[in-house]
Amino acid sequence: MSGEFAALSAVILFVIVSGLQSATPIMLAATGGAFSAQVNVFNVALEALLLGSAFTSFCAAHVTGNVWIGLLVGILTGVVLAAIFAFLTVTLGGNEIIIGFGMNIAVTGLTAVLLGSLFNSPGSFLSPTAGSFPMIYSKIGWLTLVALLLVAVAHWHTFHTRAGLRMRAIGFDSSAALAAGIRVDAYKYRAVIMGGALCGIGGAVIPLSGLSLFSVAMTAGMGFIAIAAVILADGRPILAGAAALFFGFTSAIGIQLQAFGWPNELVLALPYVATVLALLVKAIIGLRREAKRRTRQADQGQITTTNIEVVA
Amino acid sequence: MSPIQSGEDYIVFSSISKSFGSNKALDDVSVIAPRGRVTAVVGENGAGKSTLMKVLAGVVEPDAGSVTIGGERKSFRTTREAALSGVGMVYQETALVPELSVWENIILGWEPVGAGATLSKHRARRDVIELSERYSLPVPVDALVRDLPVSVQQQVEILKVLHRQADIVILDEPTSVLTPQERVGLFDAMTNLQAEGKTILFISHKLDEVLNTAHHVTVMRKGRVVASQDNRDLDRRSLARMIVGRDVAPIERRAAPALGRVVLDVSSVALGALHEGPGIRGASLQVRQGEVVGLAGVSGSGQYELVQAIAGLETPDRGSVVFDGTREVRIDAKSNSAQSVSALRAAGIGHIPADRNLVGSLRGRPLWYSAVAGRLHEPEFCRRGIIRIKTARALASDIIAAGDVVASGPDAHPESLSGGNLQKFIAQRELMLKPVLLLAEEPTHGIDIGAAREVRQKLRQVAADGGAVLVASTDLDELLEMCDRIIVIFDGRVVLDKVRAACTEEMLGAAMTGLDEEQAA
Amino acid sequence: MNKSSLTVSLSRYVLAAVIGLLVASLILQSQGYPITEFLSVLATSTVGTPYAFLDVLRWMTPLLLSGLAFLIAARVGYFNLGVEGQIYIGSLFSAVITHVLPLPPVLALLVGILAGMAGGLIWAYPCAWLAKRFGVNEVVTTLMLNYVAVLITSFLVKQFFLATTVNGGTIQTITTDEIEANAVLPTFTPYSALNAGLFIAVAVTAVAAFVLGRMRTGYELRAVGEAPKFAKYSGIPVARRKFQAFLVSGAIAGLVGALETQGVLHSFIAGSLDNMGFNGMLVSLVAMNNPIGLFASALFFGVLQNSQLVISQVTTVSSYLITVVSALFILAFAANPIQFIMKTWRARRER
Repeated sequence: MSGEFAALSAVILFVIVSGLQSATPIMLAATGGAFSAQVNVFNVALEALLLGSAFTSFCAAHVTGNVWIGLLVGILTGVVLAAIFAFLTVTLGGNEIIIGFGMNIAVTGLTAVLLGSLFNSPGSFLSPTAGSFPMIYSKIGWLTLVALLLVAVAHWHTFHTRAGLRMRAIGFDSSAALAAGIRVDAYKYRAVIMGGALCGIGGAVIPLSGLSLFSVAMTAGMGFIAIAAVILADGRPILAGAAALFFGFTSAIGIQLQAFGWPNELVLALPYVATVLALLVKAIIGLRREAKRRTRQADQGQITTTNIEVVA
Repeated sequence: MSPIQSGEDYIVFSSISKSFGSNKALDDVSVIAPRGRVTAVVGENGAGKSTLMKVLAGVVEPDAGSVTIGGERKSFRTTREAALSGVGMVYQETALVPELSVWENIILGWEPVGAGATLSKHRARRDVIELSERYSLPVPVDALVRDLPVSVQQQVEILKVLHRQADIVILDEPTSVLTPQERVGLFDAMTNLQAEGKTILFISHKLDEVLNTAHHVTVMRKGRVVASQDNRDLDRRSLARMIVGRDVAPIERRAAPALGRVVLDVSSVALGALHEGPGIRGASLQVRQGEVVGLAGVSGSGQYELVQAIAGLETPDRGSVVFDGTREVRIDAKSNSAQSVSALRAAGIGHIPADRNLVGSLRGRPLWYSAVAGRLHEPEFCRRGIIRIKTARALASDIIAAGDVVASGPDAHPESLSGGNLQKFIAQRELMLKPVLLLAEEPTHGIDIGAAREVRQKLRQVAADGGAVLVASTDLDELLEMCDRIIVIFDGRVVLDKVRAACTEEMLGAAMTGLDEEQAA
Repeated sequence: MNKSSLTVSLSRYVLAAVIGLLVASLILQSQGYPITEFLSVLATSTVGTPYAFLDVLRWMTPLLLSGLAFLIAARVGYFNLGVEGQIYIGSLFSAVITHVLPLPPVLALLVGILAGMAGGLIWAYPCAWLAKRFGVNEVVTTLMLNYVAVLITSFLVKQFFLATTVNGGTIQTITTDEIEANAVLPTFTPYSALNAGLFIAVAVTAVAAFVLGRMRTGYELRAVGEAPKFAKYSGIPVARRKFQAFLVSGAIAGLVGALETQGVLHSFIAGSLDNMGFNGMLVSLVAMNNPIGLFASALFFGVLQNSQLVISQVTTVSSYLITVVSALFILAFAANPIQFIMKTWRARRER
């Protein structure tokens, strides 16, 4: 009996640890993407931001032998790429999906080309000098804690600061925000760039946690899963972080299932399928809520000036 | 600021000119508004009154001329600069964020901050409550704006302007969305503002209000000032003449028509809300051949939902709509919207929708696309699946000619037409079908007096020719002018259904806000 | 279109091309190649040998149809980013059916093609249904299903359809057995993979162009995508048309897979269909979502695609360089800086 219990708790421990590890970059990207969602910018470029930062932080760490410099370079890259995305969509008015996707393809290609040119090792490269981020326990690094902390900070920013209120106003109704004298474009830039910085951290985590390895397109859709997390959360940071964690856990559960004999491919497909199912569940809940609101409105009747409670 | 006596020249516009492309909106306009008084700026749609006020509010920069406030010359490039100088504007279409609460909307853009960039929620709410009490504008501070009726939203807008410490308050057509009873509340608020020393400018095209509330009246026509004077010497007729430039005769009222069979029979229709309000909760009405019936109701009353159900665009939750046109069409909870709409059209319903840009026409494509709306099942326009563009263009040309529409031809795009002309095009398109029943939503909303008159004339002609017309509108004046019978919707139900002769504006207004007739008096 | 707006439109393409060219040349130069290297590679791959241009046309087949698939969905306002995965499924369906069923010549061909289209449609179905019934955002669902498609096809092949080698062992790569000879689309010469699939692609695109431009269905799809409220008011069943367009888009993507299988690969080979879907999106965007423009656009991207192999053969730079060029072209094109400059200039005059 105790043997089975030990086995079960080992599995649960593995799922939590591995889940947190794989969820970390998704969490960071999702929190960053949440800011964009708040101002109604559909930031489809999260994948590009993650991959670009992953590459540059890897290179910087490789050259200097210092992961923290790598982290800094990664954040910078995230900011720069995000600024480019903001410029192309907000200022030049390009379609967010096309620009975002275009950037994804461009960054994938560019990092592949540079990987071949700089390291003469097309496909992937294992760095002997880059090192990796220090771990707290097993595979959970300090940056995972940072990610969780940032989710809380993002929540505070969204709901308890002046900038957060203005960003939400822009997201709900940008022409009303404009009429209120808010510089809408400036706040959109700000939101996207903040998101870029977070993606920069997320990107740095990917190649430098454990193995000092970079391979072509190593983000494998993490950015898109982060987008799904943002959609699920309607731009709310804590929910976005929770959704990202959920996807991380499905990944870890999948690996465990492999041990039980599940085929490799089906296991790898789990997080993607989970994403689609999660979106479905959210949509159903949304429809139910809408129906309830309509019946409530029908029961309440119309509010008029005579039955409004004064101030309160 | 030097002490200025109340009544003295305070806001001075000197030789303001402004053009938008080839459209000269303001032509050498010079106007004076006295301090602490109510000044009305009147004129038709397109006369330039909104543009002039937008110059003061910092929304638009003039091409020439200057604005002086209290002796100081001002030049605003943004609304924020104008706000810093004490100018605030309440727009015709509410510029509030529906998903945020009242207090959040009021402080938005002018927030009190605490440590760091933290929003000081406590102080914000307190400020809003104080403001609300000081100016006697009661508002539910924590309610979401989207749950509030339009009249309360307007009060929130006024508080928002006051929160920014405006001395000059501009109101753009504030009464167009209010019932007669709600207007009283607005004018009380204006009196309070005046008592606190504010200067009020309000834009209107409603002559009675202007004569009753304004001390000073400025009349504009086609971008120029026609008159600027105290209201002592003005009466309704002279004011109307100044606005339009000629004597305006009202549409002749005709005798009670001879009514034919029932063409529309709405029975206990219920439909959940599409926006705010309770939706329609069980309404019944009938329309006969030869009648013009008006459907009145404020936004959120259920009037909109009822019209969508009658038009077949939304499937009712309960009840039925039976249309007896060239054949009988029945719509109930089991119907399918697309099929209902097609069936209604085939049976002889015409529908002029409220939104001529997004619903009534296809923007960005030549007019013939819009001309054949709903008619592609006819072999004349589409044979064996292939569209006959030639006949479609010919139809568009016919509509333009018969409807007296100013457009460059069947290939013009709808957005190049003025509002009035597009409305005339859509109206004529529906009339070409010789409808058994014409459903018209807000048929003259936002168009100039000339076009409005033409549209109303055409609607009455349909009834005179033996058809039936159902007009849904929030404009009581229009309904009283055009209709033989008026139905009022409030709180999702029919609360009044009377022949025109038995209706007064006060009675209708009371019904629209759910007040008893005695309360209205 | 008047003369000045024609110049503006053309300049948009020229600017994008210049940017793409510039970056490619810079990257090549940084590796020590002359600045004109990129252009010379393009020239070699397109007209260098007698059969080079045929290879360009060979690429036109999937690019044209892939672009059409994206375009049809875009017509009703959907971003079908799942063309990639739908191609995979279509290819697998076609490969399996044509291997398993022995049929007479023309019939075998048709059955394979229909199987491919069915596969693509089936893979698009869940995304289309979720979008219609529950309003689930199709951008994310289609992207997710792309990854699932690649994984599931690998799994199915390894499990059930893995090809056997001549002496009865199993093959190392993920490939299915060769398809029946009757289902193969004939090539024109043994020196190029160009095959009769091109005719099918051109024909389908031409028919689609006619339907979208001149027929009632095209009018309805356009109304649904550009002015849904007007469409509803006109009696067009909006949700149903969007759903149908999405499914057709999937079917055409499946057709791409079938034509690749039956025309070039003669089986399903994992990894050989990469990026066809995304390139199709690029083709459609550059054609401004206009079906007639697809031909020129597909030709352009065909030239680029064909040069990919040559790049890695002639230079030390990765063939991903072409990916970069295509992507940058699209970014420059979609962002439309010239229109922006003109708009601000005009607005500044007005204010």
